[in-house]
Amino acid sequence: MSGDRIYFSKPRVDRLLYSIERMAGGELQHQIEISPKRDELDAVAHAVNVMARELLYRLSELEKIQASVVQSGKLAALGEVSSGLAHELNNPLTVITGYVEHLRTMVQERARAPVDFEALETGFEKIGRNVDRMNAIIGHIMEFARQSNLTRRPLLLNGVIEKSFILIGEQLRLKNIQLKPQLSDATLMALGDGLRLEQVILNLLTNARDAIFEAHGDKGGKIDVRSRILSDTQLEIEIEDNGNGMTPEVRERIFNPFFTTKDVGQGTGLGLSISLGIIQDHGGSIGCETERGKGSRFTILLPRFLS
Amino acid sequence: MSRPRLLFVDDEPDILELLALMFADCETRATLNVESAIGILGEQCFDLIVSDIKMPGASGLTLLDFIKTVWPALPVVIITGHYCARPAAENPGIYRCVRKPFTKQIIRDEVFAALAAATSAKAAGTR
Repeated sequence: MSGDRIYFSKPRVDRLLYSIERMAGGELQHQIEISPKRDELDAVAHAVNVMARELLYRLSELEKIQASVVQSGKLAALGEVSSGLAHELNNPLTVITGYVEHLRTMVQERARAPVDFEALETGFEKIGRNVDRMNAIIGHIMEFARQSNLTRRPLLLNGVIEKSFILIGEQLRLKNIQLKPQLSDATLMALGDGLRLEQVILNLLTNARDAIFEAHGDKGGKIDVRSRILSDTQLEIEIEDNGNGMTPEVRERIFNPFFTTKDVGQGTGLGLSISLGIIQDHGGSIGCETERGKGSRFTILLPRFLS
Repeated sequence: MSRPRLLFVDDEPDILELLALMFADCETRATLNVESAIGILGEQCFDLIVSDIKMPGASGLTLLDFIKTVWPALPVVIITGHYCARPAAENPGIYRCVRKPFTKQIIRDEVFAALAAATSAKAAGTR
């Protein structure tokens, strides 16, 4: 066969090249037309078709794996905040238990002493308020842990930031870490998945918390959280801590999956790599400035949504 | 014994009010943090302290250490939303731990047991 020359018409070759270009551009579901001749060019076309179908299959498998990694990152993040949550739920439960008991006794003993209706009312108010508190916490955890596909909705960035404070606010308070929000008064609108973005901010706040605890222990520290309109097209969020900062060697690797500075069992190392992935899915970026001994500042840039 | 004088320390106002209700037969005072509790202990005498552990600022364990040093005969009942390990005590019985959420019965049992232990320790002349 070697040395044989085969000629094909230019239009046919052009059509083949055009199809391959479309597939290379992302249209993997496109299939090249095979002519009735079933000649060598058709054989090439067929082989390209098979390759494209294979690539499409592998891509969808990869997307499933990525989704489950993001999901397991969420569950890991949830595990980290759960110890603070036990405390958070036990306090309202104590109030509810106590007042239910108190009011029930008061009613049961109405033969001995008349029911104090004002006390009854106060008691119910306290019970109701603490039930609401528990509902809010539980609802928020469930929302956070739920499997969800990346949705794209207009959202208010400051609202997302404030929601992430709910899950970690109590823990920071207990570790004597001051949370200093300086959120822009302007309307910061982005397009994306609020729950995923919340996960990213929670991840950065958790890392800041750990950095501060490592540096200062119970003395605590502070985390500044700022948001603003950076330009016509971009929104900016800054999360800055006064922990110990990072060496250049660590700084270089923080976005690598499974890189962690924590002890075995303490952290999965998935957090920042997943966070970066989420922000990039939103068309944004995460930057990090750090100085050993001073602290670190993470900057998230997101495209602005202008309706 | 005259009415026991109790000091409650917890960062949740609802819990402080609840404790006052549960110990309506005692003389009670309440405060939201350890720093102010230490100040109050300097001004006034109490028979027993009930304290949360996790609070902003100094923790209840810091308060416990402080009390052990300055008033070694003063009983303390710790209340906590976390796992309850019995605090180590030189005088067993005057330091107790109660898990949140607690019932009126449980916390009253622990408080009066601690008060009784403190009284018998004093009577026996032990420090």
